[in-house]
Amino acid sequence: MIRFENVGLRYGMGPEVLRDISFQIAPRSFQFLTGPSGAGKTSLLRLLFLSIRPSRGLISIFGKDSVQVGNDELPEIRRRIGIVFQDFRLLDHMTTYENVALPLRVQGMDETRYRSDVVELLDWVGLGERMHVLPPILSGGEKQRAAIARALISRPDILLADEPTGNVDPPLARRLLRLFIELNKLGTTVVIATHDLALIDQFDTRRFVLKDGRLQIYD
Amino acid sequence: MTDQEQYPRYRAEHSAKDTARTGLRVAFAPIRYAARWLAGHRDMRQTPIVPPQSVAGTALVAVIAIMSFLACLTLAAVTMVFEQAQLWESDVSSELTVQIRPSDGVDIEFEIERAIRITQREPGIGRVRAMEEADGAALLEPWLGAGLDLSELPVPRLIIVDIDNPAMLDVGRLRANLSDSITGVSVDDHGIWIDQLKRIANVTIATGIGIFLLVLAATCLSVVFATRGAMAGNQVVISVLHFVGALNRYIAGEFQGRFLFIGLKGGLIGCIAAATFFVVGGGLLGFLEGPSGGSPFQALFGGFSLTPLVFIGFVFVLILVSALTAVTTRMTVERYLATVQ
Repeated sequence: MIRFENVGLRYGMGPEVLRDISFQIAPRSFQFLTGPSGAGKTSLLRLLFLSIRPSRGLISIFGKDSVQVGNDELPEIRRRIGIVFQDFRLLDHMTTYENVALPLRVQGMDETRYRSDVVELLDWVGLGERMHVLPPILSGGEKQRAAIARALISRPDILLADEPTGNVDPPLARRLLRLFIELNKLGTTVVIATHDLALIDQFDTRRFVLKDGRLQIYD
Repeated sequence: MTDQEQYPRYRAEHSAKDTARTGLRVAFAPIRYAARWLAGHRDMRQTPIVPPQSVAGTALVAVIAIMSFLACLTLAAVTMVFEQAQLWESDVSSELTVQIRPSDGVDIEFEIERAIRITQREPGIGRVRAMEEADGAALLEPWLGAGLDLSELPVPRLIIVDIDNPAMLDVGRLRANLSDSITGVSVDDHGIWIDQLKRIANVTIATGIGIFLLVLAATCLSVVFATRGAMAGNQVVISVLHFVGALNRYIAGEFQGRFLFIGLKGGLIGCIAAATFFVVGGGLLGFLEGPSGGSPFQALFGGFSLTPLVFIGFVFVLILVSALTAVTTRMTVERYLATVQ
């Protein structure tokens, strides 16, 4: 599904923040991406999402070389990737329902076609009662779940989550992780970036550890 | 004044403001829906993706309204000059003047009769009449004074010729026929005056079109700055739209819909203001009219009123300004989005 080969990344003329990164992500797999703050987790997620391009090396996403992906092809690839940001990035002027429905709306789908799916997903993440509320009214955990629901609504092949438990208390963090595991069981590939090692230790799964710009993989 | 006393007053003022704002929102709702429909949004219940508050809407509406007002005035002035020049030209070219200068030993009355007969033989000629001596004296009265006996002066006599069909008339041949038979005759078809009039009218129209284009260019530049400001204020919206897989043309369409509404609103306000200006201005000019009838402005430019042609021009300005606003926004956004991933 995703393949990195000797990928390096530097911002401008600065030092390399990622060096010789090589790995493969298989379909239906589940992995944590961890490392200390500033190790390059978010940069690696941005590379996975084609938000930035590598300084060197090869990135292949869904069988396509990232170098050959033009700006006009990016939306099609991004529709196959769901992403959850650390800062949620919900649009404050739209209700929870509208935020979650956004990926389908931008595809030009009629609301009557996706309304029941969105409502069902909001119920599943426990936001059924909050669907007509604006994000500033939601709690941190509710925002996080809304962001997850938005990433999932278009049934992506892979879900990338950047510190999804960073803004919530430990019990809610565990609940969110169980949600990701359930998603994975349903067939979605999951990559979770977090620096919360205590949380990772509760689950026996593949780990990518970033340190000083280099990646170590623990299967 | 205590807080308790201030509070009801504050609340009353704000509720009055809110009511006024709600009234304006309702008044402009059809334009808002039309703009969103034109931008491709068929479902009006959905919240716009670009928040209305994030666009410097009020300021841009004011700028577009002022620009539309100026564009309407310029277009109306050009139309008025064009219409009046046509009127003058048709008035002047429907008539020519034959002038006979008196000469020693020539019976001028006999020469006038001959000139009338020769002129009437030409095709395309209508009524031909000699100007009476008394009429000539009346024309010269402002310069030479009243009670003048023209028979003592070598004043030329004039024959006024109405042209029925200018296409059939050959002024050169008429001039040659008259010169062959009559001494001291000249034919004035007002050609020089018409040429000068056409030149003045053309320069005025070209200047007006130039000003009109400058106003439109200034409008486009204002829209470009406002669009860039809106994009800067909506970085999060743009990035989220990118991450959820929105096409660039979809994002551009969202901004275009917002700015089309602003363009329509500003254009409508400017055009209505210009129409009001014409109606009120026409009324004021009528009020200022002297006892002799007609003001100098009317003599030069004709009626200052909302003619059908001027009204069509205003509608044209409204459509043009709105379309320019939408197209400029789309181009600005698409150019920006092409540079980001």
